[in-house]
Amino acid sequence: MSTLVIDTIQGRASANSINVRGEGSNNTNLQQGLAKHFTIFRGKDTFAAIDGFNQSSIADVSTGLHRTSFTSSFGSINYSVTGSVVGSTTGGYYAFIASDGGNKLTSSVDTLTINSPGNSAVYDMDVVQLVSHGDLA
Amino acid sequence: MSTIVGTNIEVTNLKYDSDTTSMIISNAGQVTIQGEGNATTNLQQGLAKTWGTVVAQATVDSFNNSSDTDVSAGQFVHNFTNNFTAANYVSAASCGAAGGIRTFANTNWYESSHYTTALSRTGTYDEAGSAYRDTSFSVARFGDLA
Repeated sequence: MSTLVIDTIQGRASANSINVRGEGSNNTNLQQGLAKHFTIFRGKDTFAAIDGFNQSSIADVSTGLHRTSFTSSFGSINYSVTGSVVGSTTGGYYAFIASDGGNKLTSSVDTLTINSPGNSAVYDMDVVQLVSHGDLA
Repeated sequence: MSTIVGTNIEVTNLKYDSDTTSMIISNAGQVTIQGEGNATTNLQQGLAKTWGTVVAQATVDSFNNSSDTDVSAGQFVHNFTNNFTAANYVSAASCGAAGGIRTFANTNWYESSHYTTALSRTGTYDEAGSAYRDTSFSVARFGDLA
């Protein structure tokens, strides 16, 4: 058989778990490896979403504090969120992104962009990028 | 044909219809997928091969993570179940900022023993206090499995 015409693929033993051959001889898991959410937005000047996946909304909560809400929520708050910011030519050259340490929900995550070095002040950055991995609900 | 239920299907192309190919499977098992536009991408290369969330110096959720080593303040090692083929994989990490403590993460350590095919160390650094400091963090890694 060379061609299969289908709409949906799901696991047989477990509908939500499909093994995929890796680059070498080991296998990996399709569902676990997929990014479940990503976003890129402007946090400085005119706050705006640029692009996203599984993102229902983003909110400019306060200076340097942004809330990203998901269309499909995670199964727990233990999902992984990594991100980075793009340095500005006018300030915040050494800024980095962190979770705010508290408001991480299955349906949304808050992140802070922080200016470094030294003063640790929250600081609006343009552009902010996040990727989330974990188990969907 | 609406549903095929089986354990093994040997096939090269998966299509929506005769004109629309969604996936092409190579003889090495690599899967080329139609992207959102005209270009194609590679399924295996796009998957995170390991990820983890660490809270209070313990991994609370993870994928392809066999064990942890809490080395010292602000230094934490993830050991992999299935190793990478070479120590040139991508590791991206971000950390928490609870209680006004501003920390950032370094990962893929400069010392080769801390960044191998089998493990990766992540450091969380209090930039105001100029020292490694324990905090929650997330990490995801991309590259070629062995």
